[in-house]
Amino acid sequence: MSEALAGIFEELDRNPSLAAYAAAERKLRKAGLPPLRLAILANHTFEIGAVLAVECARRGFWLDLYKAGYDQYRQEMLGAASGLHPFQPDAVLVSLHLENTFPGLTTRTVTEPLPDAGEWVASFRALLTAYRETSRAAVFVQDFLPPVSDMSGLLAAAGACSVFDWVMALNEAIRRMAASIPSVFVIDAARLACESGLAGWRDARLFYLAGAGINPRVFPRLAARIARHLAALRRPPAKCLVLDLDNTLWGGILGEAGCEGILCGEGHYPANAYADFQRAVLALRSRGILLAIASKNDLAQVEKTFRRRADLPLRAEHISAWEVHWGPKPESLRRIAARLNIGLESLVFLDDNPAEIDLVKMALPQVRAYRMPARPEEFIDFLAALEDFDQLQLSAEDTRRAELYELRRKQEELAAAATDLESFYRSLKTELVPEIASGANFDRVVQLFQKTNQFNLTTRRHDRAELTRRIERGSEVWAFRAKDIHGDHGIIAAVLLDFSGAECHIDSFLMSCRVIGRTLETAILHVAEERALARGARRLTGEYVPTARNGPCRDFYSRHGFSCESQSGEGSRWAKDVASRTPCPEWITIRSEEAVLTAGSGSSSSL
Amino acid sequence: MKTTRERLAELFQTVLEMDSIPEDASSTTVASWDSVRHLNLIVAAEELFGINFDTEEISELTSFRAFAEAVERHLAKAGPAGRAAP
Repeated sequence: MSEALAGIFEELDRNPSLAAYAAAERKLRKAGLPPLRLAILANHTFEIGAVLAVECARRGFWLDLYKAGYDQYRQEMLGAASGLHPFQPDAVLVSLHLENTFPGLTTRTVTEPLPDAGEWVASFRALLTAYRETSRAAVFVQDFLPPVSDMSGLLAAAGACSVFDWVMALNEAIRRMAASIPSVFVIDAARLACESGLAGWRDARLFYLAGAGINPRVFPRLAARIARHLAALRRPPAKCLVLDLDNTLWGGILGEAGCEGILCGEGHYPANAYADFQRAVLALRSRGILLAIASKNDLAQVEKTFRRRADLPLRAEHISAWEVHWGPKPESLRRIAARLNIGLESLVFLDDNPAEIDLVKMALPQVRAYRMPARPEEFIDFLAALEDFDQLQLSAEDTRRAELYELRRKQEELAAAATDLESFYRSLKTELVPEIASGANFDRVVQLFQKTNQFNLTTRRHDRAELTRRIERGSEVWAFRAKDIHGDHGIIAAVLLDFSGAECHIDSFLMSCRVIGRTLETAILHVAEERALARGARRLTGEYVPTARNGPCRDFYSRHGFSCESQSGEGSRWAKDVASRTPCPEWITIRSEEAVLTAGSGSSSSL
Repeated sequence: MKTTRERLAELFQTVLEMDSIPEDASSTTVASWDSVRHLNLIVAAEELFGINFDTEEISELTSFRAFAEAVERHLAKAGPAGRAAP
């Protein structure tokens, strides 16, 4: 963030009043941040725009806003007399107010049955599905705030007539529904309101006078949460948490207290707080975040500690990279990034020592470095609040990622042992399984498109809606699964092929950095050529668009017999005759190749 | 130390996006003073001065002068202890 912008936020945070937000919004308007187009649909008076724009600017982007008319959300989404569609939003926020959506809910008689939540969710689902078919915009649905008061009195706690419970069950149903529609996400306003005091979220005066469903005084808090979601749409989550040891993962200095003297474990403070923090770190790992250690300590003593101290929840095998020595931490971080094959901007570094944090910030501004809070009981809240790890959804690959990296490490050991490269490749017994992108693998394919940096020929960040659209227009998206003696690596690559007449064009070709250097790209190209032939193409074309990160695939086309047709600042165009086939490397077996030849649509019927 | 009216005028300038606030500014003379901004003025003024307008009052506060008088009335009622720090 520039100094001028940082100054605006410092001033705002000293006194975060609504007037201060309005003042900040006016200044930030001219900052020239990259825009995100957001449409707000609401069935109550909900003037959060200025506050939300400021919270988005804090996260690096500006809001271009479209505000639909009061209670017009259904008409807008269905496209009738709609300003929403021409606006072409990147994201849509739907904010519905409980009493306006279910009139009379809070004043119903106790004998009256509660409304049918399932029926309402089904009709809301139909609305979102209809919109999904006409727009690629991500949709964020704010869940319902429970009422501050209802008329069931103590009976709410005693019987089945609790409006509060009903609203919570409704929210749960909305969550399940949202998860089943692509790019629809829930913003958990109800939970946020409960955290900060539900009563403060409603101002009865402003509701009855002006139809304001949410008290504007809580807009900063709600806007920060919405902006987090919007930011997560744009920014990939950090991939690795790098931790210091002494007074971060445990209490005390290992070099002084010794392996039995450091504080971490059950029963007493502060050891119990450190142990809980270690469990929280493991919870983060289960979301696909890799763990690494950067500590100034004696390596042998650290290894001994992890072996001997069975009461540390964190075990040595949970850590994907170690940098334990007396060298400077920026160097350690550089080595961790190189070792895990990820960029420095994917690292979050935590340390209790402000000098280390300052040094890292100065030497490696890309790394997101934070100082630990003063006391271990504050660590979990601190870690939970870090937005760097924000993910909008979790794929099956995420939950296995740490394990997959462990697999790769074992392979590298094997590679070191193998006498030459070819016998190493053979020893892996690699299998490549091409699958047409659909249902089961689609989440992962979309994720690869969003996240792959190094082996990515064009780095086009197609989202789910775009990929779906291309498939509908006759393009093919292929996912590639790799297996070897160490196990199943999951989907590791994806290719998007466009067809027009005698030409097959490689729009995108990307492969996870976990499997770079195993000639898998050659086997994948072999499969792409099969597809080109099956669809009647004679020429295969592609582009290389250089980025700061995709050097590893710079020579992909020249290595595979393509000739360069043109070259400019934006990249180069390549072509080859499909008749001269790229052979699949002998050490890779392609599974179900017949299926590949005959799968898909279009001209393949001629085979 | 700024007077209540000066602080209120600053708030009006920010919310209504004006360079200065004439003493006779009202929702009929100021184009940007619409129903949305009216709500923003109410909430921002309540927050700034640590007061709560009465519900009937809110719809009557359609001029800067009426606003200023209402704020002063509430501050006087609350006494020195009720005043929010600047």
